[in-house]
Amino acid sequence: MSKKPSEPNYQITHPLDRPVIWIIALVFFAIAAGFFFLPTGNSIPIPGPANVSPADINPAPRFKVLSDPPKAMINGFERTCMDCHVIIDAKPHSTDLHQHANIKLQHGLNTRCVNCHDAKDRNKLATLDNKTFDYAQASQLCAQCHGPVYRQWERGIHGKTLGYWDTKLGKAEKLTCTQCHNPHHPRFDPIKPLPGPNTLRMGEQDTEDTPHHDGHKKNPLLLPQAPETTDSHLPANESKH
Amino acid sequence: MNQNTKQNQESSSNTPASVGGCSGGSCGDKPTRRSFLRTSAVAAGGLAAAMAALKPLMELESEDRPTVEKFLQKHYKEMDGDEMQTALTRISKEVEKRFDQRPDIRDIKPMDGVEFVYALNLTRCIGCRKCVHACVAENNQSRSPEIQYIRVLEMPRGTTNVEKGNHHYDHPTVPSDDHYYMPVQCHQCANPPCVKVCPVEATWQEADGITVIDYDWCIGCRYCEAACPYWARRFNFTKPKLPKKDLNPKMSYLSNRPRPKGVVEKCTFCLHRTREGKMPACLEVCPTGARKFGNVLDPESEVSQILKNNRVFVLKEEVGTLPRFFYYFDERYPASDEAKADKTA
Repeated sequence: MSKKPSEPNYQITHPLDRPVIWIIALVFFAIAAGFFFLPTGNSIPIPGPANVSPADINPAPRFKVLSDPPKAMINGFERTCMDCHVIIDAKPHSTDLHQHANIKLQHGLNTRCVNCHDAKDRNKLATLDNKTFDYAQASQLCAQCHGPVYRQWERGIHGKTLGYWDTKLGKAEKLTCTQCHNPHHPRFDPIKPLPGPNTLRMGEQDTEDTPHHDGHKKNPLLLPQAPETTDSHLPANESKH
Repeated sequence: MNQNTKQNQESSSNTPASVGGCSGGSCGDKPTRRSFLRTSAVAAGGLAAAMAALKPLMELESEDRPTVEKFLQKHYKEMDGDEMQTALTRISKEVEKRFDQRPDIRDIKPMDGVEFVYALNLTRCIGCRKCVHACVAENNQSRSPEIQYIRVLEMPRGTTNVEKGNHHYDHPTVPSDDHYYMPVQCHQCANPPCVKVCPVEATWQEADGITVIDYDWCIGCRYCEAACPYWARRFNFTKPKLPKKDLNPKMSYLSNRPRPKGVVEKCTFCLHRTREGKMPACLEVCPTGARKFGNVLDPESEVSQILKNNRVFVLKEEVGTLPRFFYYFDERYPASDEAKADKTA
C-alpha cells in the first residue's frame, strides 16, 4: 500500500539519463586529466645559492706564529732583526717609526716599541721588568698588562681552540694571542659580512609601517620577486606599492 | 611507458568497482546500454581520481622513488649492525649515483661520559656570518633554496628581546656600532619539545645530548618545526639542490648525509666531527673565538670553565626547554667598546 504511490518516482528519470550530469562528469574528468598531465609544480622563484668562496670560510688561524728569531726576506736575503739592529740603536722613548712604516701602531696607551720589544736583543721580546721571551711565548708578554684576559685564555674562556676538544683523541690547538690579534693594532678590523639569508621568512618583518624601517634590502617578503642570480648584493627592487 | 602500465593496473583494479556499479540500475543478466554507460562512467571517474592521486609519483625522479630496500628499512634504534651496514651501503650507492663520488658514510655512536654543551660569547661575536656558511658547507645543506641551521640576529644594544632582531642586515662592514649579534641554532635541549611532538619517533635525544633525526623515518609533518621555540628546524620543501663539487664526502647517518625532499633537518653539533673528538665547523671558522664547545661532564673543559666562571644565560628560559646552548658576556666590554657601553647604559 505505502509503496505504491512512490513507485512512479523511480521511473521518472534516472540521474544518469540527464545530460547535465554527463556534462558535470565530463568537466570533472577533464579536471582530473588536467591534474595528471599538466605540470603542477609551483612557480615560486627560488633564489640561487649564496656567493661564498672557500676562502671566506677558511678555518685557518689569522696569523702565523713567527719563528724564533723572526726572519724576513730583505733584498733577497733572509735576515733576522739583529742583522740590522746590531748597528741600528734603539731609541727607547721614540714613538715615531721611520723604518717599518708598514706598522700601524694602535695599541691604546702602549705607543713605544720597547714596551714589548727587547731594546738590546731585537730577536726577543721583553717585559717592563726586563724578563725576555721568545716570539713564540708572546702570550706571556701580553699577560703583563692583560692579566684578566690572560687568565681567561688559560682556562679557555677567551680565545679560540682548534683541533680536538677531546685531548685523548687528538691534539687541542689553542691559539695564542698573536695568532688572532695583530699585536700592533690588536682590535679586530671590521669585516664584510657574508651574504644574509634569502629564503628565511621569520622575525620582525621590515615593512613601511614598522618603526624601525630602514629599508632592509634583503627582506625576502619585500622582494617582489626573489633574485635569480647568485649575487647577494643586488639592490632590492625599490618599487614598493 | 610508465603511464601505460599504471593505467593498466588501475583499470584492472577497477573491475570490481564496475561490477558493483551496476547494482543501482537494472542489474540483470544482460547488460543494457544504460547500465553499460553508467558502469563505464563510474569506472572512468574512479580511474581519473586514481590517476590524480598517483600524479605525484610521476614527478619523482627515478632515484627518489622508494625502493623495496628503503621501504623495508627498520627504525634506527631497531637496526642491528648488519642492517645498519646494509642501509649505509644503500645510502652510499645512492650518493655515489647522484654526486659521482663515493662518500665516507658511517653511523657514529655517542661517546660514554660525554654531554655536549655549546657556549657563545655575545661580547665577541661580530655578526660576520662565517659560521652560517661554514655550517652549510660542512653539513651538505641545500644551496638553492637555502637551508641554513644558524640564524644571526642583529640586536639593538640594550635589549635581549629577540623580536627586535634583524636577520637581513647588510652593512658594508660589521660589527655595526649600535648593535650586537646573536647567532641562534639548535639548542640541543635537555627537555626537547620537538621530540615530544613527533608522531613517528623519527627524532630523539641521544645519550650525549644531541637531538637527531632519522631522515628515512621522517614523514615531513613539520610538527617539530612548529614546536621548536628557537626556530631551529628546517624543512626541505623541494629536493635539496647541492652542486656535486660542494659535497662533503665525510658524512654520518644521523647528521650530514644528503637529505631527500620532504624531511626536516637541523643542527646536530656536527656529530660526525664532535663524536670523534673534533670541533664543530661553526666554531672552527669563527674569526673572534666567540664560540666554545666541549664536554660539560669534564670539569676542566672550556665550557665547564665558562659555566663556572661567567654569567651565562639561555634563550627563552621560561619555556622550560633546558637548552645546552649558553650565551655569555665578557665581564667588561673590551676597552675600545667602553665608550659605547657607557652610551648604552
